[in-house]
Amino acid sequence: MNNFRHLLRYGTNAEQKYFTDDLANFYDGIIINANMAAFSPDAMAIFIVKKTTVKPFIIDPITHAFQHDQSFISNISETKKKIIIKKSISNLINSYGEELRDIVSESSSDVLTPKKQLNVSDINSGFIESFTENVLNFQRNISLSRKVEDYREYLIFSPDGQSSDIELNLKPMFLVAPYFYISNDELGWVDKNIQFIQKSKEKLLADESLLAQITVSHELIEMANGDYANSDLKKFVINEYKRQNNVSGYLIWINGFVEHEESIENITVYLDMIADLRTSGEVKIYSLYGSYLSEILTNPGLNLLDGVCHGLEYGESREVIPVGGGLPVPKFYFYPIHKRVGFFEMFRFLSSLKIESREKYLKEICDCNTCKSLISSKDIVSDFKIGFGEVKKSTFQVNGRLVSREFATSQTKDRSLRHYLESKKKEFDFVESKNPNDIINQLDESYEKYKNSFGANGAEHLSRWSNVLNAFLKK
Amino acid sequence: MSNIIDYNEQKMVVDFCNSFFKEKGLSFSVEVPFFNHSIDVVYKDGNYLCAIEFKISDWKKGIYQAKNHLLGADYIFVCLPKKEYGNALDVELDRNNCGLILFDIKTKSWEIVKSPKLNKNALNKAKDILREGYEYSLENQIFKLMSALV
Repeated sequence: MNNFRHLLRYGTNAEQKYFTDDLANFYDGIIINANMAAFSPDAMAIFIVKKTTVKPFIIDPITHAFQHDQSFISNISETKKKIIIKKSISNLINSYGEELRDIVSESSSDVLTPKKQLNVSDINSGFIESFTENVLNFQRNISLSRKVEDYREYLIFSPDGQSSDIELNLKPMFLVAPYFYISNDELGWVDKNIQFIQKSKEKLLADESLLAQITVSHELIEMANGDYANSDLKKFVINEYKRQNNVSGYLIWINGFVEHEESIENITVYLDMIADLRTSGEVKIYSLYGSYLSEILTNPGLNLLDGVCHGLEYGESREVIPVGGGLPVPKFYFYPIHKRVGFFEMFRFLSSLKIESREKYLKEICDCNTCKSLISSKDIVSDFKIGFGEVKKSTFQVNGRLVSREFATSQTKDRSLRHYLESKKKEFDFVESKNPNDIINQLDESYEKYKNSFGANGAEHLSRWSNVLNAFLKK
Repeated sequence: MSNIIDYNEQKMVVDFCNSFFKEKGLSFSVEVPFFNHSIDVVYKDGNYLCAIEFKISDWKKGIYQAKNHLLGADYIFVCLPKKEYGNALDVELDRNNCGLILFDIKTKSWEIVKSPKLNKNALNKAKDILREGYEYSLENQIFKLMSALV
């Protein structure tokens, strides 16, 4: 059984409670961004060791952060009145070594200030040697912290009977080689990424396994539409990775690939690319930012992906360069269409259905534990509003004009997130247990049932997914 | 003298409210939060809640936004600058049961050109939510804040 299949992205320390206790059984493993670990190493170490003792994890070294415009890794220091590199990134730069530090930053008192972004031409053999060593060591040593040693001693002397040889979850399940973002006009990064993989392989210890991260532009996918076999994506990117034959697997990230909105042609390229990587041999393939579509690809009958990662109600897609988050809007994950729906649309939809009993809600909408605890009366819409739509109102200025909005309360966010995680687990369990045709039939049935319920494009993704999966099975 | 190029929607809202509601004597509020958006103006006419969307241009967007308010409002309007509009506007207004108010930004006069029918599809729960947003806006004197800003 694949026990590294449903993966959660660790975003901030405030999210820790959603990885533990009653929610610990809802996922298989964790992916942690290296800058998060660098920002609060002790908290991260304790989290990994103490709170997720049985959960395998991977550190995403986010080495691509250094190749982009440095405005994305900097902010203005109020106290120092100048632009400095963000603390988490500075910590990471210091961990990744002086070769990197000398290229991308200047030291000024106790902070790093931006200097220039990393270019292909900066990557020479000396850089590859030291950078690779440091990036791998950062991942290896994630749990090394004074606080972890204190905790280990507590366990040894703990009166509750835990033995001194308890296995602490100290090491990542895989190490990830340094990687950089590949776009159609910067294919030079492919060769460098390959060199990083080769160097990482040399530095692996006997009990370690290596993953290669393939982070590509959306344009490369679009350019491959209709003819993946002759595309730049295949010829200059995927073929190069496949030639290496020395990794345990791949992590896939397509810039801004929103599976609910992608065309049939783009989704077809996505599947072709993964199927192509599969021919490398016994490799694992994981989607770093995926939705239900990627989850379907973990079905044993399709044999495309081994696992999918998503965030806590976000992170089913991600842009390589961070963009402004915008105003958070309360949403509800509607399982039948496998999509987060705005509260307004969900409220309107529920009202139109005239659901008059709790039983009918549990049957037609959702029967997760969160919904069961919140929907208790005959007044379904009211219960739903109280449970998932509690808001606080606020008015503020944006570009000189007043704007009023409703924001979800922390209770709303908590309930919505728990419901989301339960829905996600249900999805993973479903795709594991069914054959591909059953999964496609469910997409078709839901499309027919809900195609007019959420506006013009509310459920169209189900039809596109079904279309692509059917075509794939016929190949 | 006001020039439409220098004008913006919130100025239009403030000028309209100072004119319309002074004459009508009705209770109103502005920038009313309603689910994940806000309504430019909401006013009470007896027991009815009426919503107005303001647009300097792009009346289609105005009608689209006003339509969303049908979940909770008894009547919806768009308010546009006074000028000649083609037949297409009329067709869309009728199709969406949306009224039309024309506002002269120079003279600050207004005219209700088309009155909508009572919206029988408004949901009681959504009306409650709209009412809460309306009360919030009143209590926090959003109109006063907006007037000071423009």
